[in-house]
Amino acid sequence: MVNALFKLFVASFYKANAGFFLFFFFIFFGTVNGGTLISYHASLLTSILGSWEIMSGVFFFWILYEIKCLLFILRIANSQEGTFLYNLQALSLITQVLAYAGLQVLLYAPILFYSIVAMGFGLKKGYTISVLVIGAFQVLLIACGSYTIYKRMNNWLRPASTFALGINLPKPFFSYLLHHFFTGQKLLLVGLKIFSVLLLYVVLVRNAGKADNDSFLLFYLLILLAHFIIPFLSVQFFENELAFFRNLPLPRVSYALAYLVTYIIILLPEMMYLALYGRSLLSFPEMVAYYTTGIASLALLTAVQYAEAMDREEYVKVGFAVFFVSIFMLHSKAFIFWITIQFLIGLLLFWTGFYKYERHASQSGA
Amino acid sequence: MLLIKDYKKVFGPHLILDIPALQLEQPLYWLRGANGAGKTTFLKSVAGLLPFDGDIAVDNIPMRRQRRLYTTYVNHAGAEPIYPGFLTGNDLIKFYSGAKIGNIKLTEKMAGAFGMNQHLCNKVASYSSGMTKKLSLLLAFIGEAKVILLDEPFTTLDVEAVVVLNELINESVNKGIMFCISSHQPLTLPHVALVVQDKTIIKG
Repeated sequence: MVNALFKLFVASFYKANAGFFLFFFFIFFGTVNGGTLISYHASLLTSILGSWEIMSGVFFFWILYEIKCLLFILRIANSQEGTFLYNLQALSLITQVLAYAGLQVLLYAPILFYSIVAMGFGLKKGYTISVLVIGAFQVLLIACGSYTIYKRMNNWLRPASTFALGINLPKPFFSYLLHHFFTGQKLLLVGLKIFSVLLLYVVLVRNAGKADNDSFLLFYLLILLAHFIIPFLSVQFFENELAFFRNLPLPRVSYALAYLVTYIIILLPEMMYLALYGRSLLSFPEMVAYYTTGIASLALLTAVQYAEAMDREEYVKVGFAVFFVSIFMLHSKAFIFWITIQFLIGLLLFWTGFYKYERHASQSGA
Repeated sequence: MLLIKDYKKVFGPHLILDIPALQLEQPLYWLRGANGAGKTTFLKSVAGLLPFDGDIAVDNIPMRRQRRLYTTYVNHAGAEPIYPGFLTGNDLIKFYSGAKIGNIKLTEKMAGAFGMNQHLCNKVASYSSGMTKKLSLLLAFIGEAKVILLDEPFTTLDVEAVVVLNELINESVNKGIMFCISSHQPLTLPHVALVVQDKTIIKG
């Protein structure tokens, strides 16, 4: 059983997120000069341990990571392939708790490792209360995560989720994808929006007057990077749950519009936040340019998947490539050029690849 | 008439099917073959759900050049249908009727025969596998199809529904619609056999 759970959740989690970990490893360790690496992290840890405000911010990111781990587990449990997991209910309560806690620890290990280093550093420097708070926070987070998994694995008879309002509004084709995100991916969407608002708050409100265009650019691109999961899930939704639509006489442009409308609406909160709080830093045309760049990047990443079927790992690589090119393009203020190029390449790839699309080998069967 | 020419389907390095030429003009075909032989792949290709090499045409309407018209005339019900849980049966029927120029009243009548009317306003997420299967079959009969492809249509259906489905097929055949049905259960209606064998399809 342990072997199966390890392969199903732990090995596949790290395999699917290899690019994600590489990116953060690079940000935290690769961008700092080797000689100053230790002093850099010592000052970082001192800031975390010495300021409740900074510690709260770090806790927030740790919670986001924990949600990511939980969503990964729940996605597998909720999939058809995960149905066999209902057998876990046959295990005793203690065995289940131990198994889920172990699973949590393994998925949460990168942050757990860093927090243990922080606690050791804190004890040495005399930040005893901060160390206790971090320790308690980690125990609580792992306990909550384990409880969530326990509840899921012991509740296979739950009713299917439906709209609470009980109103059956008309659903035109272009809105299917939006419905999917607003019903099936609510947690993810809320997480993304909280992440966006937090970063925009830090750069536009908390540091109003101090932040420059370069800091804004980096924060905005990090928001976009987080949103790169949207095109991947969108194509999966259309090509798995709506695969039968290919048997309907719908033109490609209907699909293209469905994707586009979804991205326009999903990025609208960021645009609204910019319009409300970004006026001191950006002109309105610049705000629209940033917003449109986001939509163009999501459109391009959608089209890329039609050019070549890819698994999550390959997609993450392409996402990072778009991210790094975007840094260069937006830094050079080449908004119109970058938007046009992304839309043109996207259109070309989508148009030529749409009817040739086939799911990635890892998802296909004969 | 369904015409298949130089059809080839590969998954990675594996050749799944190779059909140099196949012409189907009888009203009902029973597609047989062992598990994994490629029946579902073939039906999905003809429905336009899977890419392939070669040409497929219905009544001289080629899929590649006239895809919209082609998919108007070719309907398909999959072996294990999946629909978004947030849609209701009615949502899907309305959508299909709009896309395939179907008659909603006629579909409601068919739904009644399947004993589905009271479930159509519920979200698909609440459907049993048998109910989802009935919905997929119902959708396959919507519109002005010339060819209907049914992949394992009898699996998970209750006895009454099997009778209703056979009646529907029979009525449609009398109207000139061609059927290609893959099934591990023998067909009770008059048919011509198609056998998937040695990576090709031959008339049995």
